[in-house]
Amino acid sequence: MNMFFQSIMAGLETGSLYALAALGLVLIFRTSDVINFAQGEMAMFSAFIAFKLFDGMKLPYPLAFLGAIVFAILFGFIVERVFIRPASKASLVSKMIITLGLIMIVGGLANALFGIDSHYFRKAIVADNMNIKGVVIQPNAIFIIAITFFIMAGLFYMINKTKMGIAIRATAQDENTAKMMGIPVSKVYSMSWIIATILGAIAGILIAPTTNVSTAMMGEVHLKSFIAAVLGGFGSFYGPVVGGLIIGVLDNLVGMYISLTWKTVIVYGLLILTLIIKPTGIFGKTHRKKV
Amino acid sequence: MNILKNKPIQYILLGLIIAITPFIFNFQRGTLTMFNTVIIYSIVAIGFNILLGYAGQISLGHAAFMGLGAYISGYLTNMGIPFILSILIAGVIPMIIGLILGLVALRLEGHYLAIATLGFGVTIQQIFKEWTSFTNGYSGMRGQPASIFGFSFRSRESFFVLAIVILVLLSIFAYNLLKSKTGRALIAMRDSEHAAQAMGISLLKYKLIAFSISAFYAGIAGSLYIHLIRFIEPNQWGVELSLNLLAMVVIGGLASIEGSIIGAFFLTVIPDILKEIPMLGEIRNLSTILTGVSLILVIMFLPLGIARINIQIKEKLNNKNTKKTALNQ
Amino acid sequence: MSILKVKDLSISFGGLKAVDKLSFEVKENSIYGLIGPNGAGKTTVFNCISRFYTPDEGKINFHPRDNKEYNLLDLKVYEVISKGLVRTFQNVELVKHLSILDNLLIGMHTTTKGGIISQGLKLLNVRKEEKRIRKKAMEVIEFLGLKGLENQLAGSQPYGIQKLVELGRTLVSEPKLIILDEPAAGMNSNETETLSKLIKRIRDEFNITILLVEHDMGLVMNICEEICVINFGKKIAQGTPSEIQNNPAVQEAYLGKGEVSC
Repeated sequence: MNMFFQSIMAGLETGSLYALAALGLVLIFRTSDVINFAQGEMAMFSAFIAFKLFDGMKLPYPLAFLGAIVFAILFGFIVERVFIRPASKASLVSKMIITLGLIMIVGGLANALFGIDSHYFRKAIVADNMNIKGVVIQPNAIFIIAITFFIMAGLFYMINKTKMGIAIRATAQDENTAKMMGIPVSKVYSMSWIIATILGAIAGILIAPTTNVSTAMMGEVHLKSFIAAVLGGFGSFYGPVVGGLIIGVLDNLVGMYISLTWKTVIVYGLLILTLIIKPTGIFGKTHRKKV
Repeated sequence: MNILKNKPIQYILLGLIIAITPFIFNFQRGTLTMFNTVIIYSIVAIGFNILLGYAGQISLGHAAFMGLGAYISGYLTNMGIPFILSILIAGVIPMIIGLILGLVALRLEGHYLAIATLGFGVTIQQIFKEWTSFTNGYSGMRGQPASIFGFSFRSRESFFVLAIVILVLLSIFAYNLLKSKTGRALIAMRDSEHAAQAMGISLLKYKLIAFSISAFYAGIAGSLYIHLIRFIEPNQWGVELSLNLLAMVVIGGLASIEGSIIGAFFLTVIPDILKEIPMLGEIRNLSTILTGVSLILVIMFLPLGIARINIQIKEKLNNKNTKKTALNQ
Repeated sequence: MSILKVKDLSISFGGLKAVDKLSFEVKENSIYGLIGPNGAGKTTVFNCISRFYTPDEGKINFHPRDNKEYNLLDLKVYEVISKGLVRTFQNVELVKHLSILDNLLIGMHTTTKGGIISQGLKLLNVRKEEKRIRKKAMEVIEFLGLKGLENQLAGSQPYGIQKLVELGRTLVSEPKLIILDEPAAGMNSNETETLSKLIKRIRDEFNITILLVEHDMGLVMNICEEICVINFGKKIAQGTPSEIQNNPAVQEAYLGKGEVSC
């Protein structure tokens, strides 16, 4: 039973990170109608920045973390301005292709700049494990879950209560109407790309102790965040969070009780199952498309 | 000279000329291997183009279909099954898998196929790694030279002829198909889904046709690959290759058979040349970065690719204001 | 004998009832007009009949021949044309990157024979079939007076010609009923005049029933034999053109728009 709780705990830990990344995907999709396939590579790049600041420039961990966030802000802003905005009139397919090109550019640059080696990166919280009735709990796991919930609470507050949030939701609903209502749509685009890049960076830095920092580190997180977004539904902001947590827990339970080798295959099966049974996701609604 | 205007005859003549060049000039073995891979990637790219250029669907899992074809063909020929039969099965099984995957993902909006195939690619690669009794896992699988009725295509020159024959046949097949009912239906679907549906075209059916044909072409190419290189291992069939295939089609020219071949040529030959240039060749992954940059530049400024660069420049000069391009509508 | 029966059709978008318990019947070989002010729900009715939308309630039955009856709601959007019902769109939906001839060939999609493999190998049956459909398309092109333009790109044609091509694309499918969504939209009075003659000829020469949605009252009053007026998704009047013109409910619905000219 202890093992069970422990793997649930570990699942919530990684699940929170999938949720962060998935939220970034959905945020961009809802506002600028792009599926950002480069999200994982961008997150990897930000994680590398944090690592380099920490390991190379010997900055304290919190400062390195903060430095990477500042980098992510610039990174998200630049990517949106340079690659996405000029193509705002293009079809969904063209926009997807642009983000696929970004994978090659960002991934290639990371390889050229940082090398192909994999580096150990410390945990955010280094403290002794707690033992509650036989269930071993890492403080770092608690920290990750807490920070994720903290970020999401902040984000949902922003989306639901602030002016920027209303602008984001309005743009997500109908870009043209939003424009006519005087909503600065281009600011919303920038903002959503920046937020999404930050979310990815946080996920990348926090997953690093498990995956190590390397150019390939985000491969799995990236795919799982997509599955989380589909499972929860691209149509709502809550969906991907729930989806991420479910994937995280399931992933760990499968790894624990069924098979570690076939984990990826089984989780992928879940994606296919979702697409068959409820393609709009758990929180998704079906809309009638206008002809 | 009317007969020369017939595309299939052009393909045959051009194929003939290219196929005999290695017998006239003396290429190094490495160069010939590269030419052979250009032909193999051309085959995948033509299939991929039917999917992306005509049906407007993105797949991020075509490397997996190609890998499947390679493993299946390698496995079957190692068991003593004739090459001709193996290559066919290597095309048909990915096609059937594509059909099933398509039935799930193609009912939905465009981005779902991309996500489903992204996962498919990773999953299949995992299977290549773990299902050692079939693939031999990380140690890799050895393949045999292709042989037809006792003739073994062991030399690079003879393999080149075989690969070109298959490329020409598949190009003609694609050309004919795209010039008849299926091609019209696909183009109708791309230009106006509403009109297509009202005219009796089932979007799902035609997306499925495009997807399974592209999986078939990828499987055939995979089969050729293992009989050319005679060794494969799981890491080759990752998302990087899928992205490269997509880049070939977009950079070469969407909805163009010639474009697919041009794209395959550029993306195979240029990285090889870059490696040879001093200084530049030192930069790791330079070709990947350049491919990414060209992919984005082409989709933004030359959406019909380099195959039809002249038409697009003319069009841009003629009407700078009204950009009417295949994808930007 | 009614070729199309619409009964108690209702559909809503979000909370808004776009069509509310609408019923009407279209007689075989007639030209039937569905009119109403902007936003009355006309196009929505068309989209239900052609199966782009699935209504929340109601029945739509189609009798192309005496002994055949289809419940259209059982059909998928792409299955409708093969039963003999075909439509046009408000904003012309042509395949812009194909020639006019190819656009007409697409109209024969469901009747063109040949599997994938025989198409790819260009077998004899496919060649024969291509010849047959091309001949037929050319006949319709000639009927529309577009001969000589068949190899031009559809997308580069003037609006009036595009409308004709779209009409031609419906004709090649040998339908029993054509539904036209604002056929005269964007046309000047001369073009509208020609169009009304053409629609009449289509009905008379091909024995095709026509159902149309239209804003242009001149066209409707001129060619329709029966008219159904809807407003806010509900039927407010039905009858011959002269009955409709004198109907106070109709005048009220249009009041202030001044479009009903007597």
